[in-house]
Amino acid sequence: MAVHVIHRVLRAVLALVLIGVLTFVLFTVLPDADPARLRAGLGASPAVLAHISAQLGVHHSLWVQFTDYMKGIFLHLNLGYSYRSGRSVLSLIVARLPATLSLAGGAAVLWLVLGLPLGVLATRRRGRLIDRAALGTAFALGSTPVFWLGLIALYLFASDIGRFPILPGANSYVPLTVDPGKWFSSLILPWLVLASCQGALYFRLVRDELLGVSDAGYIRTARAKGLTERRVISHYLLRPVLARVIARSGSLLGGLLGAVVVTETVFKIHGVGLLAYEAVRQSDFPVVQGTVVLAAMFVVAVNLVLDLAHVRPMGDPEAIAA
Amino acid sequence: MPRRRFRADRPALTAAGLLVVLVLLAVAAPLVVDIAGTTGPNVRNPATLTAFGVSAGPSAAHPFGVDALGRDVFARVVYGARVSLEVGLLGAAVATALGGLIGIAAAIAPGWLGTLLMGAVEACLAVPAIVLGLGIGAACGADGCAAGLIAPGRGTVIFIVAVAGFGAVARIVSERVRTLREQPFVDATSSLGASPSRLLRREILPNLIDPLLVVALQLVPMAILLEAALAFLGVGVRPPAPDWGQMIAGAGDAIISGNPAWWYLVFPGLALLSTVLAFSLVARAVARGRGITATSVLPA
Repeated sequence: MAVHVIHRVLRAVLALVLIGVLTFVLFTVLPDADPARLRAGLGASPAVLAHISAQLGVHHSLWVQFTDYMKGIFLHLNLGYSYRSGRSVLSLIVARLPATLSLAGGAAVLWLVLGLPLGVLATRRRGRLIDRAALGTAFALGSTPVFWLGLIALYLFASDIGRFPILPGANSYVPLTVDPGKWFSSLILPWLVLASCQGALYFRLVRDELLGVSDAGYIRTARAKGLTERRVISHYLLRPVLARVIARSGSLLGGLLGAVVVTETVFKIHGVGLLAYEAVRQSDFPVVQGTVVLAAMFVVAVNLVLDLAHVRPMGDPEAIAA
Repeated sequence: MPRRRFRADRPALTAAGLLVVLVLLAVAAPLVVDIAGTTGPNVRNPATLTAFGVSAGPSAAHPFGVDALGRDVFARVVYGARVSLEVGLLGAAVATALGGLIGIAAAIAPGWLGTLLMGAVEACLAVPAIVLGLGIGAACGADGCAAGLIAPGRGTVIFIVAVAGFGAVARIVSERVRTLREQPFVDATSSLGASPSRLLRREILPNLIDPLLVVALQLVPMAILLEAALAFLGVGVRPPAPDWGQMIAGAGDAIISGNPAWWYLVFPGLALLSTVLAFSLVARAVARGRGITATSVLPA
């Protein structure tokens, strides 16, 4: 048990270090573009370029640049400074976090409330019309590009440009602390769009896991000894299935973050995703790099927590043995 | 048996038929556009725009209407299939090959090297594909990467798909190789004196073909969606080359500015949706036919 935990933590640490290496290679070793030129902008004089090169430490050997970079990230949480605004990347990202969390959190509530019960219902009516309709819809939604769905939603329902102007559209996001009512209404469309794509995945996950469990011997035993169907579902079917769904949601996290970036871009919600998008447009390497590093670290951390939490309370012997 | 099951799966059969049509359309794009009698994908025809710059909707001359620059949407959708298929198939192939090699290497390498390799795989898997794509797009989009080896445009996108996809393949393959090595039939062959390389070639590799095929097929729709999303975000294939993601981005700009031109939002989106759906259905049917439950291989 303790060995398992230590082993898992060490693997996460290794992954974090390698994320550092990966991003360093990606943003410092690979690009053929001159960082000083990107920082200085068009039409900078050679003297200015030389000054900026010195400031950025481009003249140091790659090894020195690499150790500086790793020290910056892991010892000082320093992700560098934006080429455009000169502000620290970490502060830029932190300032954008509330919007991103509002979007992802609200959508998560929505897709869990819709996806899980529908998954149970479809499994109960396996092969019948409702199951097939739900599965078909889930497949179609899972194949739908989020950005396209978002634009269709704007075209149909946005209050400024929509055919049926009923909900606030793009660029209407207001922070919760400013006006909770407007915050809520401005997020309804993005929540629906994000939740329908993610909910489709969770629906299929729940359905697959339920189908995998429902033929198990202990379910038959539970029924045979006369337990009510309600109890069989809640105690014998849902518990292991939810544990596995939670455990596997870690591998869906990357897809969610990507969908959040796209949704923020479509609806012009000023979150971390839109920050990264704008940074790419302006070749603002440090900001892009910072978002990549933080997103990856977040995924590693969540997966670590999920894996460790999965071992004990849910008591899946397979996870302990692995 | 697998083949018969595939035939019984009507949605998958329809999907496979759709894919054949799609490939034919993409290959014969110039011919198709000729037969339809529309203008080429990059021909701007200002006569189709009103004085206020509003483009014309679907008509006999332009079945899918024209976009904000007066280009025929039908021709662009047909030509756009080329990019999607190319990036989807090529990207999935590169990712599968790379992931397969790294997965096998990680499984048979000595302990510390295997741990390091799988650590690198985990690090790559931790970066969300779209975020990674934005990163690589920023790094390589300006002036290319690796001294010109990865050129901006299509090469960058295939590189992104490969980096985003190889991790899942490597993880599956290494787990599979580890399990296979414990199997009695491998033990038996090895105790008969077979060399490690013979074991790998004759006993392990043949058993990897099914999972590799399935995972490669599952990577295709993911790659196509990723390419489109990145094109929408402005990373990848450069305008004016026709590309579904980019067309949707253009339509988005028009619609947000109040232009009621639904046609150049809807048609490329439907093309993208049906292509991705068709590939997913085929991948699922093949996976089932080979006794692999779809979700056990790849999330999403």
